[in-house]
Amino acid sequence: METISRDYAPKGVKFYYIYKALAHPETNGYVTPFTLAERLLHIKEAERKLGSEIPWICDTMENDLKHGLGDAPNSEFIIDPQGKVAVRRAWSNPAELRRDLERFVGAVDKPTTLADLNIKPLEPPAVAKTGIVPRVTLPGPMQALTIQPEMISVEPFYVKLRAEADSNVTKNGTGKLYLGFHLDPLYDVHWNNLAAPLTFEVKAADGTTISPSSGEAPKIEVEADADPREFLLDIEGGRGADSFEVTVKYFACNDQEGWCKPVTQQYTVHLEVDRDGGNARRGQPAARGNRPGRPFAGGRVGNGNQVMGMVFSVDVDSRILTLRTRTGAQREVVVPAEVTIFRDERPAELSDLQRRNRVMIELDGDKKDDQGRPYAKRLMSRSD
Amino acid sequence: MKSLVSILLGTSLLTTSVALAQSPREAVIQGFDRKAPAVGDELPDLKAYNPAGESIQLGELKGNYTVLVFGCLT
Repeated sequence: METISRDYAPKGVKFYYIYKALAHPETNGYVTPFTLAERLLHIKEAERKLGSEIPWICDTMENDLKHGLGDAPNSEFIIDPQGKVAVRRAWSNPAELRRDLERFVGAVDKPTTLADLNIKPLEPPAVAKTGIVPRVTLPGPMQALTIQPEMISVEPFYVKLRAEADSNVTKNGTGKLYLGFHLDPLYDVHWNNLAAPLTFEVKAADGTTISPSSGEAPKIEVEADADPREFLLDIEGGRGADSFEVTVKYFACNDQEGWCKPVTQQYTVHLEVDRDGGNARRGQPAARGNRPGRPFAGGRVGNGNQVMGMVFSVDVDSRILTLRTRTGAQREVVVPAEVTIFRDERPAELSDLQRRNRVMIELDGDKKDDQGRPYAKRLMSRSD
Repeated sequence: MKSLVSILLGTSLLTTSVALAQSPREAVIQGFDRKAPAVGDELPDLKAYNPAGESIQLGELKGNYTVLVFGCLT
């Protein structure tokens, strides 16, 4: 997108990213903002981390843009000078976007490449160790619940609650609840493990049982860390009840500002699916420090089961795909005919893949051919 | 070509692979086809904010071809 902007902004085309609710909370440690100010800080973080030059427009806290423009996480639009939709696309596709702009305002002589831009994405800051506190194992897919942080003080929510439930909870009021207390990297805080661990209390409506109704995070041996404190609870008889309250107490420290302090915060958790809550990434590293992602019971897909890289060559006859990985190494993968292939979000054939296409291959367990080449189980590719 | 949005997408490929089994992407596309303003429709004059936190209206985006791409930090 940045290269297209570099080429077409001089031709009068305006480019904007629209910041919307997080699609995958927890990725790189980022958590869902509670305030507009925090969303704006996320925009600054995106500019810093990704080195983008395209300006951002921030969605409202009610997610008006997301809802009003199709509710897709990565859609794109071209608006004509009269303010009418000229192109809409559910998933951004830079290659097609460039072709659209060539049609509307003309081609450029020498398209800018990513190498021309010299963008160097930065890692998010890490204020303390991660990967110390084991993540909870979820019983299966969970849905984000709508939460309402109660602004009982001017203290920011250094730690943010994410509440999720299995589908039984929102259907019949009984099932599993996940409460995760995640440090917000915007505030550069870490847990103070020399003080009392985080504690929480849940207050449910009459007729609803949530157990345990209180809890305490494990005592951690190291002085500081930035792992989430997570709890798996049971809720029973919640049908008819529409919410419960959570009070959390913790000690947070900010080394840059030189403070450690106790914090008490409250939430109301509604037993309704938050359609803008996104999906926390599971079964893979969250990529901030060495923090592991939350696993599903029996459903974990470890890093060893995937291969990522760029297409180096494709032998359609023998169905061998050769990749160049990020380390520069070449790796061959067998792609049987029955393997599901997607290219730019659409079903594709192996012959559709082209050199330098980016691919992610989910491998078929430990299955290998007689030359030790692993078999693909599923393949996704992007042409940009 | 590699774009910012592609970087975001690229880092989410693993999630996407898991999600594929449940076809949420197809659901998103179907929902988008149904709910997003159609080609030829006026862009809704929705409220938003610039990075300084000042209120703006999408209706102000007239006079040029304008590209809007949804994204976020994750």
